[in-house]
Amino acid sequence: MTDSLPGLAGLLAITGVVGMLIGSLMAAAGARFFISRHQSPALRCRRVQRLAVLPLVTSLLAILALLLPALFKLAGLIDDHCLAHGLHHPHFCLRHMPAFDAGPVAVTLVILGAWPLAGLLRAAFDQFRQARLTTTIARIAPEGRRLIRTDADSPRAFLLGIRQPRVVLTDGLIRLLSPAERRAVVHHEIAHARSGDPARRLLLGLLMPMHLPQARRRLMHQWKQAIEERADDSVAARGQGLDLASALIKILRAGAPKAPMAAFSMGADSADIALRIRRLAGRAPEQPASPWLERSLIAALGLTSLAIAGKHHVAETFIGWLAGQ
Amino acid sequence: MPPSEPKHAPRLGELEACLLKHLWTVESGTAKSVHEAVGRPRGISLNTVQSTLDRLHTKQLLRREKVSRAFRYRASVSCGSLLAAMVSEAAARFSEDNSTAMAALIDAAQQLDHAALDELERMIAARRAEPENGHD
Repeated sequence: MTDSLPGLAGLLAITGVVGMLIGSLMAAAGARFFISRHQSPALRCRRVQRLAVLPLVTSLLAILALLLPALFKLAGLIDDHCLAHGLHHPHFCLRHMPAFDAGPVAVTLVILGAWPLAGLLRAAFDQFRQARLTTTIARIAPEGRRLIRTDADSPRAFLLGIRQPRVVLTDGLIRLLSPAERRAVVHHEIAHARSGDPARRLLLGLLMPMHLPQARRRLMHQWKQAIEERADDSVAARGQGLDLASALIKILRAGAPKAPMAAFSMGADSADIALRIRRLAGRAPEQPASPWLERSLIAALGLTSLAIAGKHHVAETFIGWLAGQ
Repeated sequence: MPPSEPKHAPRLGELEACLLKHLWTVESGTAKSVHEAVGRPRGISLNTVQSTLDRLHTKQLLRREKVSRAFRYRASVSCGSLLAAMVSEAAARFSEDNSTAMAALIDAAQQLDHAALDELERMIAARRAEPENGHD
């Protein structure tokens, strides 16, 4: 055992991962109880984004909360009491670095942190590949056009790119739809671009590995459904809602027989199109926003941080136990 | 000859894309003529243009034939088919991976039966028939 700064860093890393796990549990509960289909799409978007960033916030808060007593000691606000109560647990202290055994710390870090880290690397690599493909498309597409048309048969419309996304329409889609329906589809995609959805998607992709698998699927599904409905609303506000609804039906009719379930791994995960069509064709009542998610999140985060800082011996003992010290 | 469909959409650097776009407009050219048109205005050497054309040939995006002592290059894929291959690759990746940088109108085909679609269609028709939507 040696007393050193790497020891403190290792223990703080474990603290960060534990904080992340707590945040991911809170996000899973938040996604389950505080987001419903009856809320407005804008509210759902905001909530999913807040929950998505929660494990990162709790991870940093846990580290900060455990370092707070050390910082207070340095500033002379509280007594240096490390030596008074012995070395039965590692001390998060900048004067008396924690004695640590590197092996168990590394094992704990690998067990707790390898999986989210692998997910993060995979997400980053996917983004990189996607960005390279998008750049190549932007390079060969006719210059200055915001609309790319390709001669693929399957009827599809989507955005490509992040900073200056372009709308891609396939020939299959153009043949299938009436001019009014095509305009509605293009405006739907432009609405996505205006809200910055591609960039948000990239960020969410990078945050998702910190979440539990089921919560990750739920959050992404909720977010996708919300951004689609928000873009639909913006088309409806231009008076093109029914055109978009009939375009969606035509696309479903054309696509369904050619695309068996097995070809799409997302299946139930995809945005619920029937619900969107009903929304466009009818007038779905929306629940007013209730601030309870935000209030309870802030209260939980504040109280937990204070509890960790106040009861830092308990927290240090727990982290020491996790790290096998 | 119909342009062949590339199996796997290749990645292109900026100069590669420029040369390819140039050859789509002029149909064919030698390293020297391509250098005059694209390389010189950008301050790029003949050697660089030559090696970039070679690379595009290796990627099977250009065909070449020897005319006297120089190679004459022409595109072996059309802009449209290359773009289509890339877009379908991007779209395929999009449907299997939820973290890509795209937002799609429909990101997966749903298995709605015809009866459900008929019902939704009737709903739209009913809304269109309402006086306030008469202009639609």
